[in-house]
Amino acid sequence: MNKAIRKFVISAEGAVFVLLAVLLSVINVVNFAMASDDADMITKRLAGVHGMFETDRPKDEGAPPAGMDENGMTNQNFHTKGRFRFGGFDMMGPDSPEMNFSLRYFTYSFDKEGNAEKVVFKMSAVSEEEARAWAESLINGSTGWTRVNYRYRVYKDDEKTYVTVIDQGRELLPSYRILIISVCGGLVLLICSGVILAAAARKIFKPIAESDRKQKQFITNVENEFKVPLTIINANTEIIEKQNGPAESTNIINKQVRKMTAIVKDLSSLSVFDENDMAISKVNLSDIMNRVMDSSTELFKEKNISLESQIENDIMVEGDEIVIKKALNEMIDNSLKFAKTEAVFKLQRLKNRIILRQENDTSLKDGSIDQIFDRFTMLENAQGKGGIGLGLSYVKQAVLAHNGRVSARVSSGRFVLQIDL
Amino acid sequence: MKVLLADPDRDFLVSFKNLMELSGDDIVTAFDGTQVIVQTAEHSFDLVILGRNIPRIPYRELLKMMNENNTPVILLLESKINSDILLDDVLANAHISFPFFPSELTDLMHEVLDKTKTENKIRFEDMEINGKNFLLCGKLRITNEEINTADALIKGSEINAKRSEPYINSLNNKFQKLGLKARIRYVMKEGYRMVSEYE
Repeated sequence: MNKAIRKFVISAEGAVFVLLAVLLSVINVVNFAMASDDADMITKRLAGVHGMFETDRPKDEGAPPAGMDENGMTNQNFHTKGRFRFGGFDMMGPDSPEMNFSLRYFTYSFDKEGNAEKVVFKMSAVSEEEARAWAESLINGSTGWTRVNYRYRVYKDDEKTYVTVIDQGRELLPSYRILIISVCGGLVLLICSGVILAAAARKIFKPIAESDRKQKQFITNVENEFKVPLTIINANTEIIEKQNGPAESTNIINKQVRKMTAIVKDLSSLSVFDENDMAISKVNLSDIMNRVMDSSTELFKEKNISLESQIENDIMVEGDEIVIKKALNEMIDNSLKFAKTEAVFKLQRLKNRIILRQENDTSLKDGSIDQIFDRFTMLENAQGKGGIGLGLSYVKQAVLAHNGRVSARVSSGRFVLQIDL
Repeated sequence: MKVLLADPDRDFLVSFKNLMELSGDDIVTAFDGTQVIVQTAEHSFDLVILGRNIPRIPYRELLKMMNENNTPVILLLESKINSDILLDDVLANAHISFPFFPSELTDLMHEVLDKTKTENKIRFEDMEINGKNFLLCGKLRITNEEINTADALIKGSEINAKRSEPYINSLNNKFQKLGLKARIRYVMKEGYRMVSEYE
């Protein structure tokens, strides 16, 4: 049951993680993309005014070019342009006239001979010399400069090529903050949800675990309560037979007692399985299977069922030897009961999977019959064969406890039980 | 033979007393630990059949007493035999698990008694089992089933691997405890074999 709780918490946590990761990634990618768009809009505006805002032009250089105001805006409506209202606040957008005064940037122009000329330099993180070298490298097509806080644009007019680099560090700061806050918030949320899920899972699984425990306890009790009475009935039947000679009635008692004895033995296979008691170690599955098959050969011979085993050597698994053996014996018992003329057991490695197969001929109809792994489930061919439908449920529990999968189907008159490990 | 049958279930006692007396055996019954002590003081038994859930006195105390008197004991188990029972310091001579057929018990009784009456030593390398006093190398107690398993393995006869497994495990454990070279190993395609440790 602990394993089921762990599985539930891990898968629920996985789902929460994926959802959070998707949501936070979308928010942050959109946020950074919008910040880059804003920066591109600024470099575009600068390109429109030959790399320098009018506010940065020395006063003696005359009037701004035609169609531009003194701030370098081509749109006259700059009081509302670039500002958007959010509640009671006026927010400054990238094309706000205030941007001209706050932006840190530089522009270099290059004539056809490649001579550099400073147009404007308003930056303190780099020296003018470094800025010129940087502009030159950008004009040569290198974008190797990896400082993410900068954005550049290369553009031309009739005479010159311009390189403008702007510092968008201040604009990116909120985006970085959001990134850090969302990652930390996401982690906290993940941990909190893990704790809540673990507590909830314990509560949810408690009644299931309790009913499972009670069912096992009940089976153990029934098993124990039946054992001694069966032995006593046996003894008394024998007394009657010894005193009065064998009779049909004592024969019937004997036969029914044998049947009940088999059922009681079948019950024990279910009551002893508890995955928390498993002793896991590296075991040689091929060896175990060979041993189990060896000890069953005679039983198949007695029932005139031809037994074929194809076991690949030295297949190792992490598991509990006793549980594995018991599960294999249950499969063999199943085969002994239901095979008509032949049974095949195969163990092979396929890439990184281990496949264990039980095959035999059967009278069942074609189709998937996974319900045979449910406790107390018996199919139509099980009547009068003894047992109460617990053997294969043990096999399933054992396989699941070893993190494997199990399936059963009938195709063209053949029963195939396959275990993937 | 004179047998003490001790178990808390009175129906069980009456049934098996009646049945065994039909075969001419002399059966005395006891349904709790104190009765076992009283009866063993009064009579001398060839064999004791003891239920593990006997009340008043723990079955291990009673077993210890029987071991000291050299009275063979068959222990009735409500569960299947396992290596833990076989590795206990206090050990019965043989075990039988409920549910069983009367003939299984009577056959076992005769087998155990026959062993105590005949000198039969089983040897392999430095290992020696004395069937008469159920001792391994004169030191460790050993059960009827373990003796049969070891005997079959040395003779090379077929054993039921499924049924013999707890005995194989306990035998290997006892060999190791006494520092013996003998071991029981599984040999591919041949089954279990008695081998020397370094083989």
